[in-house]
Amino acid sequence: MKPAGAAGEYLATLLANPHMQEWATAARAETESIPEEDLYG
Amino acid sequence: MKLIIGNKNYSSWSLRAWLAAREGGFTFEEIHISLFIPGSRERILSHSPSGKVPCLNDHGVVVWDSLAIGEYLAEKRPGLLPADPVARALARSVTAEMHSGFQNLRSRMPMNVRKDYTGFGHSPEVDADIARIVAIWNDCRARFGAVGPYLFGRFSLADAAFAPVPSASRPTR
Repeated sequence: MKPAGAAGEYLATLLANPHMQEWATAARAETESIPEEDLYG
Repeated sequence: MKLIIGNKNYSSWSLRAWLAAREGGFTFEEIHISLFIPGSRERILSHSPSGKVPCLNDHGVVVWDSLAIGEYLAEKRPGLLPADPVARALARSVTAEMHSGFQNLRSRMPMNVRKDYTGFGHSPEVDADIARIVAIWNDCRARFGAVGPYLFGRFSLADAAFAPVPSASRPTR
Protein backbone atom coordinates (compact mmCIF):
# COMPACT_ATOMS: atom_id res chain seq x y z
CA MET A 1 0.00 0.00 0.00
CA LYS A 2 1.73 3.15 -1.22
CA PRO A 3 -1.02 5.62 -2.01
CA ALA A 4 -0.13 8.79 -3.82
CA GLY A 5 -1.07 12.34 -2.99
CA ALA A 6 -2.99 13.28 0.13
CA ALA A 7 -3.53 9.68 1.22
CA GLY A 8 0.18 9.00 0.92
CA GLU A 9 1.03 12.06 2.97
CA TYR A 10 -1.48 10.98 5.58
CA LEU A 11 0.03 7.51 5.70
CA ALA A 12 3.43 9.07 6.34
CA THR A 13 1.91 11.16 9.13
CA LEU A 14 0.48 8.06 10.80
CA LEU A 15 3.79 6.22 10.58
CA ALA A 16 5.70 9.20 11.98
CA ASN A 17 3.35 9.68 14.92
CA PRO A 18 5.53 9.34 18.06
CA HIS A 19 2.99 7.20 19.85
CA MET A 20 2.72 4.91 16.84
CA GLN A 21 6.49 4.58 16.83
CA GLU A 22 6.45 3.84 20.55
CA TRP A 23 3.91 1.08 19.98
CA ALA A 24 5.89 -0.37 17.07
CA THR A 25 9.10 -0.41 19.09
CA ALA A 26 7.37 -2.28 21.89
CA ALA A 27 5.78 -4.67 19.40
CA ARG A 28 9.15 -5.52 17.87
CA ALA A 29 10.53 -6.21 21.34
CA GLU A 30 7.86 -8.80 22.09
CA THR A 31 8.99 -12.38 21.88
CA GLU A 32 5.70 -14.27 21.73
CA SER A 33 4.64 -15.64 18.38
CA ILE A 34 1.14 -16.66 17.39
CA PRO A 35 1.44 -19.05 14.44
CA GLU A 36 -2.15 -18.46 13.40
CA GLU A 37 -1.39 -14.75 13.04
CA ASP A 38 1.89 -15.19 11.17
CA LEU A 39 -0.05 -16.00 8.03
CA TYR A 40 2.77 -16.11 5.55
CA GLY A 41 5.56 -17.64 7.57
CA MET B 1 -7.20 4.20 34.79
CA LYS B 2 -6.12 0.81 33.44
CA LEU B 3 -6.11 -0.38 29.85
CA ILE B 4 -6.01 -4.09 29.26
CA ILE B 5 -4.41 -4.94 25.94
CA GLY B 6 -3.10 -7.91 24.00
CA ASN B 7 0.16 -8.47 22.19
CA LYS B 8 1.35 -5.22 20.65
CA ASN B 9 2.62 -7.08 17.61
CA TYR B 10 -0.74 -8.53 16.75
CA SER B 11 -3.61 -6.80 18.51
CA SER B 12 -4.87 -4.07 16.21
CA TRP B 13 -7.88 -3.48 18.43
CA SER B 14 -5.58 -2.87 21.36
CA LEU B 15 -3.57 -0.38 19.32
CA ARG B 16 -6.68 1.64 18.51
CA ALA B 17 -7.71 2.05 22.15
CA TRP B 18 -4.16 2.59 23.37
CA LEU B 19 -3.45 5.24 20.75
CA ALA B 20 -6.66 7.11 21.52
CA ALA B 21 -5.74 7.09 25.20
CA ARG B 22 -2.20 8.28 24.56
CA GLU B 23 -3.22 10.96 22.09
CA GLY B 24 -5.92 12.07 24.50
CA GLY B 25 -3.26 12.68 27.11
CA PHE B 26 -4.59 10.16 29.60
CA THR B 27 -2.39 8.65 32.26
CA PHE B 28 -3.09 4.95 32.47
CA GLU B 29 -1.60 1.65 33.50
CA GLU B 30 -1.14 -0.90 30.74
CA ILE B 31 -2.02 -4.46 31.59
CA HIS B 32 -0.62 -6.81 28.95
CA ILE B 33 -2.16 -10.20 28.36
CA SER B 34 -0.53 -12.47 25.82
CA LEU B 35 -3.18 -13.85 23.51
CA PHE B 36 -3.77 -17.43 22.45
CA ILE B 37 -1.75 -19.09 25.19
CA PRO B 38 -3.07 -21.28 28.00
CA GLY B 39 -4.81 -19.10 30.54
CA SER B 40 -5.24 -16.11 28.23
CA ARG B 41 -9.00 -16.21 28.20
CA GLU B 42 -9.25 -16.57 31.95
CA ARG B 43 -6.92 -13.63 32.48
CA ILE B 44 -8.87 -11.48 30.04
CA LEU B 45 -12.18 -12.47 31.61
CA SER B 46 -10.88 -11.34 34.98
CA HIS B 47 -10.87 -7.82 33.52
CA SER B 48 -13.21 -7.82 30.54
CA PRO B 49 -16.73 -9.28 30.56
CA SER B 50 -16.58 -9.83 26.81
CA GLY B 51 -13.49 -11.99 27.14
CA LYS B 52 -11.76 -9.75 24.62
CA VAL B 53 -9.22 -6.96 24.61
CA PRO B 54 -8.99 -4.06 24.77
CA CYS B 55 -10.85 -3.22 27.93
CA LEU B 56 -10.68 0.00 29.93
CA ASN B 57 -11.17 0.22 33.66
CA ASP B 58 -11.56 3.80 34.80
CA HIS B 59 -11.74 3.55 38.57
CA GLY B 60 -14.35 0.83 38.37
CA VAL B 61 -16.07 1.97 35.19
CA VAL B 62 -15.43 -0.92 32.81
CA VAL B 63 -15.65 -0.20 29.09
CA TRP B 64 -14.85 -2.80 26.45
CA ASP B 65 -14.57 -2.76 22.67
CA SER B 66 -12.25 -0.22 21.06
CA LEU B 67 -15.13 1.79 19.60
CA ALA B 68 -16.83 2.18 22.98
CA ILE B 69 -13.52 2.93 24.66
CA GLY B 70 -12.80 5.66 22.12
CA GLU B 71 -16.20 7.24 22.64
CA TYR B 72 -15.76 7.06 26.42
CA LEU B 73 -12.37 8.75 26.19
CA ALA B 74 -13.76 11.40 23.84
CA GLU B 75 -16.43 12.26 26.39
CA LYS B 76 -13.65 13.02 28.84
CA ARG B 77 -11.42 14.70 26.25
CA PRO B 78 -13.67 16.17 23.55
CA GLY B 79 -10.64 17.00 21.43
CA LEU B 80 -10.56 13.36 20.36
CA LEU B 81 -13.46 14.15 18.03
CA PRO B 82 -13.77 17.15 15.69
CA ALA B 83 -15.61 20.11 17.19
CA ASP B 84 -17.55 20.82 14.01
CA PRO B 85 -20.75 18.71 13.93
CA VAL B 86 -20.41 17.83 10.25
CA ALA B 87 -16.80 16.79 10.64
CA ARG B 88 -17.67 14.92 13.83
CA ALA B 89 -20.43 13.00 12.07
CA LEU B 90 -18.08 12.00 9.28
CA ALA B 91 -15.36 11.07 11.77
CA ARG B 92 -17.79 8.78 13.53
CA SER B 93 -18.93 7.31 10.21
CA VAL B 94 -15.47 6.41 8.95
CA THR B 95 -14.48 5.14 12.39
CA ALA B 96 -17.53 2.89 12.43
CA GLU B 97 -16.84 1.75 8.86
CA MET B 98 -13.31 0.78 9.85
CA HIS B 99 -14.62 -0.91 12.98
CA SER B 100 -17.20 -3.09 11.25
CA GLY B 101 -15.91 -3.39 7.71
CA PHE B 102 -12.92 -4.37 5.64
CA GLN B 103 -13.15 -8.03 6.59
CA ASN B 104 -11.12 -9.10 3.56
CA LEU B 105 -8.26 -6.83 4.53
CA ARG B 106 -8.44 -7.94 8.15
CA SER B 107 -8.35 -11.64 7.32
CA ARG B 108 -5.66 -11.52 4.63
CA MET B 109 -3.52 -8.73 6.05
CA PRO B 110 -3.82 -8.76 9.84
CA MET B 111 -1.59 -6.39 11.75
CA ASN B 112 1.85 -7.85 12.28
CA VAL B 113 4.47 -5.27 13.14
CA ARG B 114 7.42 -7.67 13.18
CA LYS B 115 6.83 -9.31 9.82
CA ASP B 116 7.32 -7.81 6.40
CA TYR B 117 4.67 -9.42 4.24
CA THR B 118 4.99 -7.00 1.38
CA GLY B 119 3.22 -8.45 -1.63
CA PHE B 120 1.34 -11.10 0.36
CA GLY B 121 -2.37 -11.27 0.90
CA HIS B 122 -3.63 -9.42 -2.12
CA SER B 123 -6.86 -10.41 -3.80
CA PRO B 124 -9.43 -8.39 -5.72
CA GLU B 125 -11.48 -8.13 -2.53
CA VAL B 126 -8.52 -7.00 -0.42
CA ASP B 127 -7.49 -4.49 -3.04
CA ALA B 128 -11.04 -3.15 -3.08
CA ASP B 129 -10.86 -2.67 0.69
CA ILE B 130 -7.58 -0.81 0.34
CA ALA B 131 -9.01 1.35 -2.43
CA ARG B 132 -11.94 2.27 -0.20
CA ILE B 133 -9.60 3.21 2.65
CA VAL B 134 -7.51 5.38 0.35
CA ALA B 135 -10.68 7.06 -0.90
CA ILE B 136 -11.73 7.79 2.69
CA TRP B 137 -8.35 9.26 3.49
CA ASN B 138 -8.31 11.43 0.37
CA ASP B 139 -11.84 12.67 1.01
CA CYS B 140 -11.25 13.52 4.66
CA ARG B 141 -7.95 15.21 3.96
CA ALA B 142 -9.46 17.27 1.14
CA ARG B 143 -12.44 18.38 3.20
CA PHE B 144 -11.04 18.77 6.69
CA GLY B 145 -7.27 18.57 6.53
CA ALA B 146 -6.44 22.24 6.25
CA VAL B 147 -5.72 22.72 9.94
CA GLY B 148 -3.42 19.76 10.47
CA PRO B 149 -1.96 16.55 9.07
CA TYR B 150 -4.59 14.11 10.31
CA LEU B 151 -7.87 13.06 8.70
CA PHE B 152 -9.78 15.88 10.36
CA GLY B 153 -6.81 18.15 10.92
CA ARG B 154 -6.10 17.35 14.54
CA PHE B 155 -5.74 13.76 15.70
CA SER B 156 -9.12 12.12 16.28
CA LEU B 157 -10.67 8.73 16.94
CA ALA B 158 -10.78 8.27 13.17
CA ASP B 159 -6.99 8.26 13.05
CA ALA B 160 -6.87 5.73 15.86
CA ALA B 161 -9.27 3.53 13.90
CA PHE B 162 -7.02 3.51 10.84
CA ALA B 163 -3.76 3.28 12.76
CA PRO B 164 -3.25 -0.48 12.24
CA VAL B 165 -3.62 -0.21 8.47
CA PRO B 166 0.02 0.74 7.80
CA SER B 167 1.24 -2.23 9.82
CA ALA B 168 -1.24 -4.52 8.11
CA SER B 169 -0.71 -3.50 4.52
CA ARG B 170 2.96 -2.77 5.12
CA PRO B 171 3.77 0.21 2.89
CA THR B 172 7.33 0.42 4.10
CA ARG B 173 9.55 -0.36 7.03
